[in-house]
Amino acid sequence: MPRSRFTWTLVILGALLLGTTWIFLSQESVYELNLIDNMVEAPAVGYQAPDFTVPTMTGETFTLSDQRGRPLVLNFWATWCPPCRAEIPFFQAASRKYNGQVTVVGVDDGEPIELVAPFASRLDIAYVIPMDEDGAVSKEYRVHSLPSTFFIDEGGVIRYIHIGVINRAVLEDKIAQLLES
Amino acid sequence: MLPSISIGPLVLPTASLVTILGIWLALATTEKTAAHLRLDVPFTYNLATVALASGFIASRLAFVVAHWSAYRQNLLGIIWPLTGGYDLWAGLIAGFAVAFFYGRARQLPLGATLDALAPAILVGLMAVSLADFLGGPGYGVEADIPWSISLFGIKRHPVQLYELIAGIAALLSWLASSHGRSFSGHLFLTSAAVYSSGRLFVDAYRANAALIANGYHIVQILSLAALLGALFLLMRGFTSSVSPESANISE
Repeated sequence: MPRSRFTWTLVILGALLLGTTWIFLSQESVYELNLIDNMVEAPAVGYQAPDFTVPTMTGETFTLSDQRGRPLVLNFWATWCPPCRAEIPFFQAASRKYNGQVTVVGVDDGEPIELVAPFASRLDIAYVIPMDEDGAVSKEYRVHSLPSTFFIDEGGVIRYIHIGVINRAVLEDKIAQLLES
Repeated sequence: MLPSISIGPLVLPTASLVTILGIWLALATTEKTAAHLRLDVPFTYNLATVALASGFIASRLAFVVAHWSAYRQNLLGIIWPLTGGYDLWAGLIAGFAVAFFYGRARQLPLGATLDALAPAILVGLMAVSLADFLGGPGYGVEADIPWSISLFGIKRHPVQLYELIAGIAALLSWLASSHGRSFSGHLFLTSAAVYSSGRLFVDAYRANAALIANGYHIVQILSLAALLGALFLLMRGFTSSVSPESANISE
């Protein structure tokens, strides 16, 4: 290692010059970055959320891309899954609190409507429940464990993925981030 | 790449597993390096453990305070860690503050203690990069190079593996310097300079980096500041000292 103060000063100035230049060269246009990544559909943060169309529990047709223009919380759940049941009140509260600002969607994973409808009615679930009866949507989203929740911004880009049961605070925190972005 | 591992009916998140493994490895490394530098091993190990625990608790409490309305009716949720909800910056500040004051209370020499903790910090940072590679949200910019990795049909820079290489280089610089330690803090500053210059370089290849206004990478700016700080203190150490016992950084 050099022991001369002059040599060290040169090293520090060189690092400052090279570092600043590299930071300047690495500067990104956020617009360009999003434009490139938005073209690709993938179940991962920073990518366009894979589009899907399935019937809802009430017999309507749900298409994810139709929801663009408003942030969306996409929760995968099933009636047999206790943690999913535990977090349903949080999604209900969020759907009421952010009504008109954020869309809450609960995709039922691989169950018949005859099973889900009475369950949803008993819990008075007010948000949309698309029926993924053959599990194709959860396969597309690579959902390996229930519950899993995807936070999608108004442009249809996945901004955060939460695997496992979510609590009210985290849910509200992530929704606030979606609204801020 | 591999967000979860299935063992029978259990689905384990790889990112969490690697992070826990990293913490264990970092603590184990602290024991070894403290002994190697002839520091008080239990005190140094305790410092690392107390700092980690304080950081963990503070990050949780800060999140709870920020979202008190959500926890007020569910107090048990505060101590149930699996549902997430942590404030990273509160954890880091609390962890470093507790480490500093614990070290002062126990009269641990600052420079020498940092020398002993440097490999553990690097191991922890490398675990974070590996966790991000296996199951995190990070990914590199598009690249058609022989070592690019394919993510959802697009070839990208394996940016987290570059971060791992920066960590390995910093560990090697620590090892190389440990044979001729010139002053207390020398090893910490050398490995900090190598690691921060590595992160400054490789973060350019991260596609979803945290940015400030005008699109500059926050990690690059912090890395440059850390690099310059480390070089300045190395200059002070090398131009004013001859032996580890005769000079320390800010002790």
